[in-house]
Amino acid sequence: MTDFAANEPSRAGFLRDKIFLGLSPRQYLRSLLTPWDAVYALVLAIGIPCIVYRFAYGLGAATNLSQTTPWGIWIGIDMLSGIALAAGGFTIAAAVYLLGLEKYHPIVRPAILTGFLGYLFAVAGLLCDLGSPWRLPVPIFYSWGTRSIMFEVAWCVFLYSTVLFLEFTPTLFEWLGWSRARRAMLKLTIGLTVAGVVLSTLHQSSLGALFLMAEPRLHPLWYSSYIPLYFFVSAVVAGMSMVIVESALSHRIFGSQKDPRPHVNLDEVTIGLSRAAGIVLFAYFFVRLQGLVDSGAWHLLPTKYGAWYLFEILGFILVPALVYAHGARTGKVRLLRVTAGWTVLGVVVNRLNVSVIAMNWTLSPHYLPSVIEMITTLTIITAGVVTFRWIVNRMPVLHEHPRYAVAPQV
Amino acid sequence: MSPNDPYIVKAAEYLLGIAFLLLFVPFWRYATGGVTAAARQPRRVRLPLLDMFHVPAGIALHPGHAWARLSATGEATLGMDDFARQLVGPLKAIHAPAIGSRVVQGQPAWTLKADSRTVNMLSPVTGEIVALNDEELRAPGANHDETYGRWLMKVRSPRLDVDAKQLLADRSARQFLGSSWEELSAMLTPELGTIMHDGGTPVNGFARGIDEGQWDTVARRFLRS
Repeated sequence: MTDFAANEPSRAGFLRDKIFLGLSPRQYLRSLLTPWDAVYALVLAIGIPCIVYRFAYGLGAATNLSQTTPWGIWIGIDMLSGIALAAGGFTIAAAVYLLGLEKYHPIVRPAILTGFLGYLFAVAGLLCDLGSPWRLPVPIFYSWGTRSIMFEVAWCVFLYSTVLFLEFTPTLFEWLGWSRARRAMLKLTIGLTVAGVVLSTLHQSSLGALFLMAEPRLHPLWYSSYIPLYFFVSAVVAGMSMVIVESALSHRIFGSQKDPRPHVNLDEVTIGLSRAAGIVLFAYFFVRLQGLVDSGAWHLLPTKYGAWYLFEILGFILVPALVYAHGARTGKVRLLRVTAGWTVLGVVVNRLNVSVIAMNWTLSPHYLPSVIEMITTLTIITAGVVTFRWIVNRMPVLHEHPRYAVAPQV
Repeated sequence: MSPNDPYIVKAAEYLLGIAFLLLFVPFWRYATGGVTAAARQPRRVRLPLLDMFHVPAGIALHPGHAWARLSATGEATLGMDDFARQLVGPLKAIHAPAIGSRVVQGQPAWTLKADSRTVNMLSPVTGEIVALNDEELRAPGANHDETYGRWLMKVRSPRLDVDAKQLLADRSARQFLGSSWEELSAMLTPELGTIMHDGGTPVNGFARGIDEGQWDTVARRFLRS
């Protein structure tokens, strides 16, 4: 590397180099005057006061939640969907570091970052949803409710968020120029990956296990003793599909950041992930059918809920599985990306079905989220996107840091 | 037929299990078969490695195949690397912004002109243009001295140390050129590859060798513009 690269910025230049992208504060602020930044600013300008209102006046004033419907879209979208879509972190890390599928190496970092931010903002949604959010650390440090499934969920989310952060630290240290710390963290890669797989398997399924307690409230078409398995398998598909969507968008939006090495073939990565996602989705479809048969609830299929259930398992599981297989076979990458987006939507719909739409299905009127709930959810998602962009624009996420890059031998 | 009759439920479960096994095998074969992304690409041709992989000390490359020689005084000398020259072939002219204009790293800095088409090249650094090599801009390649002596512009920047982190030097630069060469090999037809096994290069440049009608599109792919 050149002498310039070897020189770390002085402490005085840290803000300019690392935060303001080498620009003066005024130039940096001017660079933010774009239409997308205006949209983000508008959402945050409306959303942050809504969140303040929720904490100032409580859940009763800000939401349509009640004693009979204590979980709404903050749990359905921010928590359950966010955690499922973050599963790409452990899926891709395991594929690369444990199975040795080096082809996927270029997408490990974005997948881990997506996973970490997914968990971080899922916890943000959870904080909004909890009646006493300041008690969040209690099950971790103070009172172990070892007979509660929530105990397992809390510990797994806490531990896996920590693991994801540690997996992300080599990127952070490259950005900061801390070579020794980076080397130390890289030595932990295999251990962290194994821990990530174990913890994800445990808690993706334990999120589903939460609903085992809700048998009387959950519509029989969605209730099944297999629901922990459903959550885990669908999270694997959601993670892979989210990585396909995220990598396609990142390479379009952050064109100047993408890996300059020509051997990085995103199309090939997309086809490989789609093939795996299609096969898992196909198996997942039959597991869902098995659960339906086992529950003996098929007599409810010719109802409105039955039609919605069929739409979910046919439209969001079987059809994408077939399209994934066809697209992977024929190499239609654009079709695969659209299918990935559709599958991501399908997983969100599934989590909403289980936690909101099919929950308390006998109640009338059924829960509908308040405007503040919807704005808060949009704000949390926007904050996640802005944070992702902020990090990608500064740290070596979509490409290897030139000083540490390992190019193929000539 | 009651959905809670255990015989019915068990029969349905077994049937479903058998159906899954029968359908999963053909589904697997269908999904994992077909054309792979690698196979969709043309047959690979290994081209002989050329001298272009020599990158002198002090020279850093941008992924868009522009080079920069950075000085400690905050001035950078910019040019296009040998790969870019061989890719586009002979040029009519190179259009560059006037002295005093600002170029931004990763943004178009100068334009290569050949026949009626033009291709932009990206700036390796951010800064203000303080000098232009008019001779090279008017008649690119007329002066046949070594590549890294054929500069196009000089840029003054207060943030060269930041820009340098996005550039490739020494071993990384050689490997980058090597992998670019590998990718180029994969795009060439076997016939064209054979022609060049004597170590020569196409008279009109590799991009034209790959696709005469769309050579500028091919060039943009490698020059990332």
